[in-house]
Amino acid sequence: MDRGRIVGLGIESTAHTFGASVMTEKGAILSNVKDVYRPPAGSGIHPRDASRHHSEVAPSVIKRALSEAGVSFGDLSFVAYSAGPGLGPCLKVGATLARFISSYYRKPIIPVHHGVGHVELGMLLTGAVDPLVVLISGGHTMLLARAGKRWRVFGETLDITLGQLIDQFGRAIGLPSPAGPLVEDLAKKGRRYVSLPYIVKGNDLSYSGIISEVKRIIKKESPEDLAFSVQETAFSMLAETSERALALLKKSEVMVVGGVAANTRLREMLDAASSRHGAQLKVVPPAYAGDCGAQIAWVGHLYFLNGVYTKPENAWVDQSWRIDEVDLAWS
Amino acid sequence: MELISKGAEADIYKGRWAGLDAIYKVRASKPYMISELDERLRRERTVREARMMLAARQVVPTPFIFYVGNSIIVMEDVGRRRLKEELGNKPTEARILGEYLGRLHSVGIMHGDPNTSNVIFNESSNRWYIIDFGLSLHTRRFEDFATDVHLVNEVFIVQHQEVYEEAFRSFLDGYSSVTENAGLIVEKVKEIERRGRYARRRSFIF
Repeated sequence: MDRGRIVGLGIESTAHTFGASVMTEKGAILSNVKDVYRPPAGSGIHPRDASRHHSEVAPSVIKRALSEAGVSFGDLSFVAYSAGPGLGPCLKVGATLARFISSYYRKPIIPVHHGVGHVELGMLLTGAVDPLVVLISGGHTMLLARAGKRWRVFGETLDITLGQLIDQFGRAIGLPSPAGPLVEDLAKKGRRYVSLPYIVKGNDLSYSGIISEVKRIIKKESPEDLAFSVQETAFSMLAETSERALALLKKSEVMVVGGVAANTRLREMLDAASSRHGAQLKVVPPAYAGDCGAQIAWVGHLYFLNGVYTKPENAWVDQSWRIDEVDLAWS
Repeated sequence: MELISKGAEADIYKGRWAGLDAIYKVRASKPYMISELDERLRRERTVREARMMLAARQVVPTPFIFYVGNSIIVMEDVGRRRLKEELGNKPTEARILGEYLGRLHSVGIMHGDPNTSNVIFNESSNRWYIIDFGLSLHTRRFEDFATDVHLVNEVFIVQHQEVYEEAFRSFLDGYSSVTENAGLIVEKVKEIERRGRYARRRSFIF
């Protein structure tokens, strides 16, 4: 198999994860190394502590990504980094490193939108062509579809994201972040559904009511039943809004990407919701669901192949970069 | 009965009721939801929709209700001509949605799902009707009214992009013409859109 000749480096550092990946222009993932910052149980991610973690692990993660891929800095055609959205101090670690590599080794530099990374890597790995995208991660809960040179938003959370809901719930019952897999295990042991606010407004949804209600009744209910009820309520809301978008857009594929895509119960619900509208569900493989360097490296290639890149002095970060403002250079 | 459309929330059938043309709105069970939640939502929304349609009738045209069951509403068939298809040629028609939403807000009703698919022209009475009150509620909070306006903005950006400016201006004109506190509510809309995830440069025009 022709694995391709152009190699690019992608650096991811928006939140918990510091990741680096080397990929070819044909989409072969030559390496994908990551190191995840884990705050103490019961507390959230502190941007300063996370960025300190990233600065400490960055050199070894990047070195390993290169050596596993069997390339040196000189072989790279470009370096891409996550420019937003995310936590400012964390973003700066990746951007600063990318700028250093770019100027020292004289390589083009490419700022990449983190969410576009999740979506485009998903397109590559699932083979989806024109899907309704369900993007669910720490930073995003959005329904998207491609419209011309943009990913357009068809529905989103009005307040916190699904990832934040699960992490905040996890913290409230004393679990470490990211809490996704632990909450999923607890939920499997839940037996009784506790009624929680179910808030769908048009194609948008709101999760903040769930966390307030959970905090109010936390002493009265078991963690298992609460985990079960939080998942059932939050996932049903997402499945319903996905159905609304499907009924509107008539897409034949639904693609799920982002860290929460790893949840089995959510996949099951989205699968059933999709088939009600004759659409096929495609889910990003679990190994690439969470934040990783490959999502950045791949979008780097999409820009590079279309001649879009810049110089190190133009590197920037934008903590609140919206996905529907990103100009896509590829079709 | 003939299935007309399969929505996310309900299936719509065309049929007859006591010799009249009728629409059957059926909230079918969702196989992926646990039954407690599924039943709660279907029951709540059906009852709410029927009540709110009745309440709304005092200020806007809504279909006449023939029958309400556990998860089914049978109502007058007002036709198929949706505002959605008209806006492309005549963006100023969006004014009617603004007027209707404003009148609902004036009597303390938030629609909850205002969009151009939910406004239907009835040929026999020569009037626009507004439908789909499953997510509506009685409220006096500006925040809720502003959410309605925000949802319209979102729908226009997504579905009526080519005529967005003219259509949304017409909507706001209609809305302001009947709503006492339109200015304050619009301010609240901006606040909601600023609060949204990374909503900094969302294209809300004024």
